[in-house]
Amino acid sequence: MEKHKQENFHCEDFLSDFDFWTVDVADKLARDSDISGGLTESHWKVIMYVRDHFMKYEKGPAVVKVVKDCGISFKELCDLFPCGLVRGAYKVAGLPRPQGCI
Amino acid sequence: MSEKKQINNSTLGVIKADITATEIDAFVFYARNDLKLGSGFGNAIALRGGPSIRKELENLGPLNVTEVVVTTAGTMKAKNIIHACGPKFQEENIEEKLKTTIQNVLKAAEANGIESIAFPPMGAGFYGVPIDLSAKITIDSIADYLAKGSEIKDVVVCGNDTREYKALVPKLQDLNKKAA
Amino acid sequence: MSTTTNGRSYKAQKVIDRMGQKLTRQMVGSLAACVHCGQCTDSCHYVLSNPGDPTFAPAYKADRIRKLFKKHYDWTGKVFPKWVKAGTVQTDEDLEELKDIVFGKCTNCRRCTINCPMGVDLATFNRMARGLLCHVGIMPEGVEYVAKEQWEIGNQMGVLKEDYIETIEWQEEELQDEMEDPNARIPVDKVNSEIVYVINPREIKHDPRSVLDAAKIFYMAGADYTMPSEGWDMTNFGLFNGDDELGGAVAGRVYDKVEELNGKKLVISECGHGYRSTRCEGPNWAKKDIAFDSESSVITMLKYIKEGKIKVDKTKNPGSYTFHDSCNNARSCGLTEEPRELLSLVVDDFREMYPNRAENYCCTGGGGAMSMAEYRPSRLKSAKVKADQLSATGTKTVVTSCHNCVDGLTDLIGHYKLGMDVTQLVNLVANALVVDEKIEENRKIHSAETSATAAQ
Repeated sequence: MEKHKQENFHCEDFLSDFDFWTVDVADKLARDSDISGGLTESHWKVIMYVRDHFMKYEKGPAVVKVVKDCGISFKELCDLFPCGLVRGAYKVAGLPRPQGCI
Repeated sequence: MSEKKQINNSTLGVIKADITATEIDAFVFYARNDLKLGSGFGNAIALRGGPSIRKELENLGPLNVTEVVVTTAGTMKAKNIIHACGPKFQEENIEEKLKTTIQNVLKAAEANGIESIAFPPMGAGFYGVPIDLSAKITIDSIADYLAKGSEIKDVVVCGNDTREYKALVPKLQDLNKKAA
Repeated sequence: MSTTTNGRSYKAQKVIDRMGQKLTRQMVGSLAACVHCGQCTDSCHYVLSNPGDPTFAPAYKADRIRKLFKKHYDWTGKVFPKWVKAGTVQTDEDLEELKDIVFGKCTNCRRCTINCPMGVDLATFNRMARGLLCHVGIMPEGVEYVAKEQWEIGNQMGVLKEDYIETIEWQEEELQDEMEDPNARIPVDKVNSEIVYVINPREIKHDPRSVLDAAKIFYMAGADYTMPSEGWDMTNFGLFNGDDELGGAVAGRVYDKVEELNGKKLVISECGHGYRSTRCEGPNWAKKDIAFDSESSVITMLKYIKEGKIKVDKTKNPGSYTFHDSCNNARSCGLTEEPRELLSLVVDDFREMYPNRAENYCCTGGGGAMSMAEYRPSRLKSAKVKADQLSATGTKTVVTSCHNCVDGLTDLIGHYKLGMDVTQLVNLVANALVVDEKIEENRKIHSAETSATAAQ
């Protein structure tokens, strides 16, 4: 049960323009999102999945889709993106801040 | 939960169901003027139907109030979606506009060979038409149209929850009284 | 823009007409009672963080709504309009301006209310004013988006039913792995359960850890519970956008489902506005008598520990903790002592923040503010007082019983670089769980019950 990390989310703002996103922007957003050591292949798999989902549906994917379609566990997702799905993966993938209680 | 009534060669029913998950020829989406799918049922259409619907809509708008357009329904259980730009938020002559919108939907359905349609209670919920008024106008307008004879075989009005369903049922039953 | 005969825009006239239908006795009391003493001024986090700007003062904001009441519905405004500052809205631009005040300059936190010697409840008529504007379609884009999701999909994050079910099944697998028990279940739509457990869609869409943590606690306690397949969203945007119809529809879906499942008690996960909406305001909005009991999951968890149904070891949660009271929990529903009692049972180092309980400052993301992107810079600027309050505790982690506060606090902690973490009681309780013989008994009960249900 030690897998529960108390560090939740502590990050700043999202990109406002989805098309402004580039690989360099992603690197910068990653640094803002507590991802140390740069983006790895595992990060890119999630990032491209999230971007593809947004292009198709104009909305970020639910966490269950990310985990199942990218073949990772939730713990692995949190290890890759310490700020979580929204403030981590969505943000680095260049999605705008989602609507709702976020 | 469901209830229905025969009108000429057609049936008009009321069900409690998620309109975007219904197996039917076409369902009605209460559309924005710019035809952007947006949230709510629009979100369900995007997620369940896939990106092709948005592509189709790109060159069809904007619509004036009461106008409708028909698209395919992508990977949804329905075959088509009728995007109907109904009146919103207490705008003027709301009842007349609702009736015209409903007639335009039914005309478009006939023109496209659609034989079964699901309606929401038109304009109720987010766009602020009180549910009782919406239920009455939706049921009565469809019944009036079908009474003149139509190629459309089945029409259902879909209550999203128990509250909507319970508002729709008595309006359908009132039709029986009128007929008697 | 169409206009009416008196030159007023069609929408402005509709807003004024609607006000007459929405005024309740409490609102009229609040609208009439203000003596402009200024006591509310220093109670508002917007004022405290923006000391040079008088337009943030609660009495000033209230007067933008009050003037309409005086002009159109109060005799004093007819006899001496200038003295009582009666005024009206003429154009759609006037309505937009009002929108920026009622949505952008107040989180309906009610801190001014409890500090008003006259009992003026600004939040109540600010909410009404929001409702008047939404009625004619004037609202921030984010509010429009979320309200439509909740009206039409049934939850405010547009989670489809199939995704909800898939997420629960996924968390059930996680539960089985962690408990090393292939019979561990998260039951859905189980009839006649003691508990129907409803949650915030954020738990499904973005971070299901709290679903798993709650499931672990229920499992360990041998609880007879279920999650509903519909009516599972206990949040309610009707509280935020002032739409009583939406409030009633959303709360009604929860109540209808509990009745359909013949559940004995509704347990509401940690969410301030959801708790207030579902437990306190909902029955009025939905115009419904509720035959079953309801409680916050905080109370459920506390009872489990006190009754020995679960055991916890606070050394499993090292570090220092403070507690942030959600406005809706503390000020509007009086839920202040149970969360502290529970927190003290699961952590060793708990330090109060000051002020606290009903006097606590808003997370600054309340009243739906998190969904209104256009006011974000002003919101974060107004969070200064909250940031100072948090850092004065000297703790590493802030605990709160509200999902909205988690996001509001997370935002301001990032903005002011406080380096603190945010967590909820359910996470701490689950993390502190220990297994002993009694708990083993409960686990067996749970397994036997769920496999019997599965076999049916």
